[in-house]
Amino acid sequence: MAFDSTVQETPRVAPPVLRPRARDGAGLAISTEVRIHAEDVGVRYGERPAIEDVTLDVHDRAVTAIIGPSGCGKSTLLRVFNRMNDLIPAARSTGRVIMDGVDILGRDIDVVRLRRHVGMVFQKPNPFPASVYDNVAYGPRQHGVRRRARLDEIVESTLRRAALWDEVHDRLDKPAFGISGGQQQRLCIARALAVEPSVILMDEPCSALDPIATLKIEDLMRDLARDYTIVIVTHNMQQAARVSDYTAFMLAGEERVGRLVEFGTTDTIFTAPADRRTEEYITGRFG
Amino acid sequence: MTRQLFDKQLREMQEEVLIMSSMVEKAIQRSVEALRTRNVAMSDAVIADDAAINKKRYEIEEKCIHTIALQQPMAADLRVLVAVLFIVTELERMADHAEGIGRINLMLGEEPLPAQMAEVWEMADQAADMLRRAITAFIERDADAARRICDEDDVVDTLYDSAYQAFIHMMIQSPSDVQRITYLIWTSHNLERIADRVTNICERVIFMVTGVLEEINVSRY
Repeated sequence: MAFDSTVQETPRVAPPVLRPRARDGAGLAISTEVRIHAEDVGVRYGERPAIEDVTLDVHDRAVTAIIGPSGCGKSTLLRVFNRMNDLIPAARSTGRVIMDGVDILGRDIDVVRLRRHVGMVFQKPNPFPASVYDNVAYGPRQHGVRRRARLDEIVESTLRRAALWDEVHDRLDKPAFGISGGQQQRLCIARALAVEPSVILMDEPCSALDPIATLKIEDLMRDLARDYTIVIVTHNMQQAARVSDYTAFMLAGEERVGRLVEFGTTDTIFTAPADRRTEEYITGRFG
Repeated sequence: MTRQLFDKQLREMQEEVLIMSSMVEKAIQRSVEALRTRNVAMSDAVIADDAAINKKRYEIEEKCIHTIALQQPMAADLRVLVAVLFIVTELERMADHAEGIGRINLMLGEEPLPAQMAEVWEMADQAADMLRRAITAFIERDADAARRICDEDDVVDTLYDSAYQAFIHMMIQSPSDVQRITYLIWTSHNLERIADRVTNICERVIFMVTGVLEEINVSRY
């Protein structure tokens, strides 16, 4: 596997059995093939546990939304999937996260290669202080692509994939900070796509955007879900309902440790959730 | 507890459904009572009052649509509002059946009713009772009660079969009464449809409580 530098030494787990495709409320088929299997995942910051006992399947080529009130550990869980928590010195992850048959929490995992496969988009657009072109070309260059013609090709196809090409093709050499906030966020998505990931993590990707820019990103997410596995953390429940196929609801109890309360198809979670706490949260009767 | 305004709106909406169902129940009872007592003025009143029921249906529907648009309800809240939308439609159509019985009474004019009307009166009592309990199940969120009421539709169907056979027999016995008896078959059919619409309401109550859409009772007619 591409991000696994020591395949021979990493314990392998049988890939999950494929199940028939589910259908959402609109009768559309949604993927039931598991891309990431998280089992008993916990994260501690020093002595303090942030999340515990999280077990869920992230489905391939589908959008999975993680929702829950502030402080429930949504972003912490998201960062487990590309080991971004490793950047926090006191953070320690436990449990197993199986991707392509390999536990990505394993000590032998090459996290740089992992992050090439599991891209991330953040809350605020964070383009590099460079041109639109160089933002997209940055990743491929880091991975050794030098030929200008090849880079041009990657930049154009990636910007098209991010539904941005038509808006910026005549100002590729202009500073990325000169385009609108919504365009900057799509540029960041393009930058993530340029290194050909298979999973894209999005941490509140629309919270800094206006409603029109938000809808464009949501359309893009639906479009990308045909080829990529997307996990999104959002505070906006309508957004989770609009864009996702599966929804995970997390909640922190009095001890302030986040746990997964309920996971299911978005259709079910937003019309007939099984857990009373999910019902209270999504109907706005929480607290 | 948050969303107090929304909760108040939901409560008011349910009270409106209760009021509308009372209007419909009264229309059913009065339409049949007018037929039984050959009271033309009462039938006229049932026909005239249908406009108020139609108005109430659109008022509730409009409130529902506004609440969905402005409050963006989810889960159980959404199911309540969707159930209300369906229930008011069923109630409005039931009132149309009562109005139909009112018109039949007018069409019968001076013609007397045959002696064998027991099944028709029983159908009317049963349908009105089923409606009252279905709305109680809606207010009390009682899916089990709703299921039990659905089963009772078979009783009304059996009464309808019996009345229908009796009316056909009367037509054979007395061909000159065909038109008069046809009006009575229409009456019993209206009552059968009312009971059937009660089962539709019960299905919506079950959906509202459980989140599962299921067809409980398929009408034979």
